[in-house]
Amino acid sequence: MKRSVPLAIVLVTGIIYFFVPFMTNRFTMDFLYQTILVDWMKIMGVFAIVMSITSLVRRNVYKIQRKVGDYQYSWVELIGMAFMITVSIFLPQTPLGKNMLLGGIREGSVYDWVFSNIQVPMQATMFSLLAFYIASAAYRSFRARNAEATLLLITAGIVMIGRVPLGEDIYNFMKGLNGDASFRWSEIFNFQGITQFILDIPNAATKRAIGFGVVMGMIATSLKIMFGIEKSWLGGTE
Amino acid sequence: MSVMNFIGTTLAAIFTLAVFSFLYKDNPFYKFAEHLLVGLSVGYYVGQIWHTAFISWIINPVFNERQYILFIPIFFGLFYLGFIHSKTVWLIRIPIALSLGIGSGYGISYSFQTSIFIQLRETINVFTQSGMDAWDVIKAILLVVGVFSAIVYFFFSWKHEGVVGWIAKVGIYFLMIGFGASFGLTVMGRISLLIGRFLFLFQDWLHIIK
Amino acid sequence: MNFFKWLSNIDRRWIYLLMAVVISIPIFIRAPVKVKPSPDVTMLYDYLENQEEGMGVLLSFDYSPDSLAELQPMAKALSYHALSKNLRLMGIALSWPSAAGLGIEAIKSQVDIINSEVLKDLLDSAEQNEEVKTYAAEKKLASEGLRKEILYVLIAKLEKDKEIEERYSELKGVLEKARISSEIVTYEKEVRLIGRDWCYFGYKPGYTQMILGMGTDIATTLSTDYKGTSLLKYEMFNSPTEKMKNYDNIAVCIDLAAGGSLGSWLAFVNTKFGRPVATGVTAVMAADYYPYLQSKQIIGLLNGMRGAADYETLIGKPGRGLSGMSSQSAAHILIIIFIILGNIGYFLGKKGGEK
Repeated sequence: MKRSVPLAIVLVTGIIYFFVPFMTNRFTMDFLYQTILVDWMKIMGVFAIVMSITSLVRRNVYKIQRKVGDYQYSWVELIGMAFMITVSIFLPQTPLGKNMLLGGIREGSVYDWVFSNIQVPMQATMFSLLAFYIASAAYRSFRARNAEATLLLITAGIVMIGRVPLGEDIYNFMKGLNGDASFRWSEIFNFQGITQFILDIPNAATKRAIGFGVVMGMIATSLKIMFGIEKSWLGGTE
Repeated sequence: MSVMNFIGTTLAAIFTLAVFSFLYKDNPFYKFAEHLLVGLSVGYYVGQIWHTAFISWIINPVFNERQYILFIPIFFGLFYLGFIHSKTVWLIRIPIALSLGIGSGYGISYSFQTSIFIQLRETINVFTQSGMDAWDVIKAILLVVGVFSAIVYFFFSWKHEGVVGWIAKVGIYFLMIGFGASFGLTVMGRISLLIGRFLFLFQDWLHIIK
Repeated sequence: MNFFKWLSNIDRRWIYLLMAVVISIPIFIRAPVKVKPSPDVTMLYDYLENQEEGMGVLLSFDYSPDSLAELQPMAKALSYHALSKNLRLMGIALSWPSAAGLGIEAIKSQVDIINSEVLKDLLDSAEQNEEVKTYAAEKKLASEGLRKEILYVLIAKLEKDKEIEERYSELKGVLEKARISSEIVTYEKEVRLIGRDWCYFGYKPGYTQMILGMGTDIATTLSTDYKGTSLLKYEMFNSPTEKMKNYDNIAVCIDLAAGGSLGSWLAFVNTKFGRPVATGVTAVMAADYYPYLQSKQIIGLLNGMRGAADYETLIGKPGRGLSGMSSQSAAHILIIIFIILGNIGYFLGKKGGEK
């Protein structure tokens, strides 16, 4: 029952909804599409968040109770979360000083202030660290070991120059040197044009071919889930 | 600049530098920032869900507009809370099964049409556009050759020998150009993120540049 | 050879430092940057230029602060363009909750810029008023801050935003006494107001449901805006003649994405409802979407920070996209030099090994 009921639900709803896009009768449009798919599914999804909060709290409480590793930082996580929940949900939207609101989530609230001045800069900086790692990897790892890798690196180099103003500056300079000569050798320095060609033709062609594979794979996985061949989503063995 | 703005920008700069400090080596400032970010993000998520979904989709319609029919999705949604006890944990599978079944079933035909049918049709239609010059024809041929040879490369049911091998080889070269483009753009994207933080530090915080 | 050996053993932190220096110098020098907008960006710009006033433009903020540097300048440039063309701008965050705050910042900043341009004369005269001057002196407000507060109070009067009026109640009293507040009514048609010219829905979970639901009825699917106000209270959603009912009233849906959300916009908005879709994406994932540009399933593609710089150039409003371009050039040169040096070292080492 614990496995067969969910598997039966997936099979039945999957088959029914496979045909929904092809049906235009009122029952399908009003009930199957609008009521269930749009209105009810959005409400069901709201409850899923309780799981994510509870798992975060559980993980941190476990760490604090057992003093695992750097458990002190678990307090930081819990306090940060509790603070945001308190100011956004439990405190009233009364003015705090001249420019701020104590509670609520709209602009000017404490919640929004903390988001803009603490959460955003930290999250933005976390990902910007990758620029440093890519610089280091450029020297240590990106090797032209064979013809294919050489082609990849040359393309990458052209794209890197073609997407920045420097590429246009080089092209304009070369065009100046080329002058009015009938042989337009300066065109080989048209990095922006070459980049556009690379993106529009060979890149688009290969990404299209890869896309076919990806989408076929997604559809196959969907069908496997619907027909109970793929069961990993059930989790556990019970 | 108001006092709160000044404090805000200074705090933002301090946290930016705390995260950058990881480049030197892992340290307590970075760890503090990392954990605070996780906590704040989840708290922010809850605040958003509460106001823009829970209140406006559940509390208001049910209690103010008396749409009691919504108890049906609420009932199924509450199964997500089954995880609080080991005996009821399996109940989570019910709403997940509904989402998966409905989502997969409904999405298949549109995914197929969007990413396979139209894409394939436009690969063929590339020759039927009006006013094509010689260069457009060359580009169209290259596009078709690129798509076809890359598909052949990924087709492992045939051995990559003879004609198939040659076509697959062409496919590899196209793929390498495609990956090169992605690689170049990846470098660009990562650097843009860093530039964004530097612009913040110099422009918004230190006001060194306007 | 020794040079390359030394270079390959160098502490990575020196490379980090060099990268930081290379990015910083162009920012300080403030070298003037010009870019030639790429056709993918120009296509979207031209499309919006040719839209009739009153049509809707929907921006979907599907990114988190991670991609702020690339996508926020795009969001601002697109918002400015739509608002300046008198198109009705709508914004929603579907994939990431943290996009909620970024979306309102992008839209509101551009609404404020356009409103201050429209109200320039009124703000100038307000700033010169003696009573306002006294207020500014008491509160130690500089010109920029004062003008911003006056703008908020005047717009709040038109939008009947009690929260803002309460927050700035003292300035509101000063402006009423100075008879500046009453003049705002004459600008009512020109300024951009919430619920009439723009609306931000905030974060709404369940993006497939939202995208499908908006195809039938935007107001009933989303219910409220980011402040919790019912959408049916706004002229945009209750006017019998100029209602934003569904995608039929929207000229283009623009997905600003740092993930796979564009797939749903394409599958449902373009394929199912047959409406135009455009996108602004991070450079990392941009290459994947060129097939959809070729097939005309998307009518424009803004690719990374450069895409933002291109759009800023087209609308004539330089912003963070253009500011970053000279540093971008310098950093790319550095990376290319690193790759070349690394490879020279590799081949010399290989040669040495063979001997």
